[in-house]
Amino acid sequence: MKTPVLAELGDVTGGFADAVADLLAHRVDHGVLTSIDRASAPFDAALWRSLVALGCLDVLAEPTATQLSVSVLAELGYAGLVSPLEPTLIASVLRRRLAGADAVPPETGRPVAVAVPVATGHCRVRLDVTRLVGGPVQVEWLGDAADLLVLARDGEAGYALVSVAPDTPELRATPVRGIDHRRLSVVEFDAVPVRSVLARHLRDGDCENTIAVVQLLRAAVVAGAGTRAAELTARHLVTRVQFGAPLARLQAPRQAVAEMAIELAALTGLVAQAATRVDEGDAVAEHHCRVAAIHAARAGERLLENAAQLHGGIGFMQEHLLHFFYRLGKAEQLHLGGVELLLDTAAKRLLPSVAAGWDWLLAEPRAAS
Amino acid sequence: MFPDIPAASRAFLGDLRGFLDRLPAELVAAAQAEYAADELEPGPASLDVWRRMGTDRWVGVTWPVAEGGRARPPIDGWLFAEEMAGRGLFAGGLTISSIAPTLIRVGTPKQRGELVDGMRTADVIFGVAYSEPEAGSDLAALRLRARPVDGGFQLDGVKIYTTCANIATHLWVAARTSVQPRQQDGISVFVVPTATPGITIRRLMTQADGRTNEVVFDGVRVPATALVGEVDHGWGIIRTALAFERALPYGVVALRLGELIGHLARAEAVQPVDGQRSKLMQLLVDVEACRVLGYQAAVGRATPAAASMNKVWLTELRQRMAATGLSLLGEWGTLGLGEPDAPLSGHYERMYRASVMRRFAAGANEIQREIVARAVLDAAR
Repeated sequence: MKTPVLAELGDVTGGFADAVADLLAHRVDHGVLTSIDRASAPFDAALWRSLVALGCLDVLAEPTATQLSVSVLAELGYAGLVSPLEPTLIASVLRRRLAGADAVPPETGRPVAVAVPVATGHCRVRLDVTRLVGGPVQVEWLGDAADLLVLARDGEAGYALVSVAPDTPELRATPVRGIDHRRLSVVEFDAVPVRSVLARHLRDGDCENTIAVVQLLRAAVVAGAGTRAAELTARHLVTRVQFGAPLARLQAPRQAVAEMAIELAALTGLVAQAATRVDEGDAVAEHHCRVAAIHAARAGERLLENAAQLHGGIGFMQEHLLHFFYRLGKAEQLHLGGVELLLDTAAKRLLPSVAAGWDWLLAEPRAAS
Repeated sequence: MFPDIPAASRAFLGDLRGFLDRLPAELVAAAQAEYAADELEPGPASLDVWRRMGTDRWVGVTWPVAEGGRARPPIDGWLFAEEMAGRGLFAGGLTISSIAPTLIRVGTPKQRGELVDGMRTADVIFGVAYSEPEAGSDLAALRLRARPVDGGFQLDGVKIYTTCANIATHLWVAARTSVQPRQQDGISVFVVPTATPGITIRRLMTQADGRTNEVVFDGVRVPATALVGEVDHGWGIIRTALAFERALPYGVVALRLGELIGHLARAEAVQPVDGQRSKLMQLLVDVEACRVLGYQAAVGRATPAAASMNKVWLTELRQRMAATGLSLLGEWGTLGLGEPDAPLSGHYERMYRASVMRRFAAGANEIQREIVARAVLDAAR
């Protein structure tokens, strides 16, 4: 099954993303998701190796890396699977955009964790000569990662991108349970020695620009999760008989399912568009990334709430798949920073250029006449 | 790659913009003022722009060359419609967006030969006569009868909300030619010159100060050649025309949002209030979503469900934007079109009054959601 994101980007992703989709369809079922959710299963190294073998890390070296990344992440979202592939791809975005380093991390084949703020103003870690201090911050999949990339304050005006060893004792990590089943830790940096400094004196604007691309990757996960939730809901409506007929015959559920389809069509289109703009090196790619992220946060939530409502009690039970997507979507929204912060940050960064003259049709600044 | 605007289409857009930029500034300003006052009925300046564009074949760019078009790809048609709306200019209304492409698809050579070329140059203008007092969103319940008579048909009945009937040369009429078990069957479509004896047009004024019309057909005789397609099989033609009609351009919504953002950024008299920025940003996101859905409807998926998605999103955004914009403009927002002190020339006041109509016109949004739902649920079966 292709997600709509894949359908939009079909020419670019070719058979690769289809192969990922096939793998996930065969490997990830309710039992797998449940075992991860109950923390009874260790990091699924076999699945990770399969994703790596398919080339999920190799895509990072491609000119269409962002489009390929969002395709894979949408497939993960569609499978309901939260995977260290997400922070690993985010780490690649940080490296490429801020450090110019090789897209593929040195520990090729191992997951990478990241500590990146939702906005630069929310950065809680600072670089003190050769050590990181500060926190707390949330880090996903820390225990399974070979590397931790941190975007930290660097003096008064700048930022630094540094790498630290995840198992260093000065890194005080407390495993916590979050809204969904991703491995999550709350981390304090108690003079953590830096493994390597990838970039220093980074400007605020460059960091915000990069954070926007990170947000796009999270939006892709929401698009995938939303797609699956919408499909589950449609299937439920045509099979669940109430009042003597399938629910699909009732007007109110039909109106709601249409609403979900409209939100989803816009979301997948916005994600695909933004990924294309990023890969083209577009000067206004940040604009499109933030637009996609905001729509993912707002519409994704509405979509998943509609799915829950239309499923009723059946979808509320853990034995049904829906709750994985409901929780995953909300988790991504919160890791994006929440709707209010997204809107406020985007407004500060985007509205001035729109006010200065915006070509709505080409979605770029209006050329001076 | 999405949305793919290839270099050739960008060049086309550049040429179109060049043509529009070379139109007399006074003419364009007058046409924009007419469009701001009423997007549905063109005034003299809008008709002048239409004629000039048609003469240079900038209207109907996707039509076949034999029909006077340029045989450009669908994306260029989308760019044309959006560029015109984005400049606040009338682009031929339903005559160009809905009736012409439908007629090209299903009309006889004689109909196409007599009508299409004139539509390009505003010599032929259509009023679309679908709704009746007892058939609105349930269009298939229409009752206007078309009875076979010697040499053609006789039409009797009443149509309402026939916008542009007062300036139209022709009416695109949905009529019942037989009564059958399924009400969608037995409907036929006719092209009727407005000058035909027996037609009476009565003005109806809307809450947005726009004009629409009631059209009474009293023994109106038309030749058999007025029939479009086959007798009793007009429903499919109407659905085709409505799908074209629902692929609404979002350009004017983007134009108005740009005006609002610029105004609030500049206006010293307007004090920023908490949440203002975020509200504008949300509208911006929704407009960008509109662009994506519009592209999908016109170029990408081009299905009836995609057109309905676009129609729902755009029309509801338009009303939301009008309400939010007026609220941000505060009490000065109450001033109407043409008032010297009206912020943004009163566009938001007019948009607020007019925008509600788009939600129920061309099939109420509840019906559009039903079309979308049917597509989604059929795929799930």
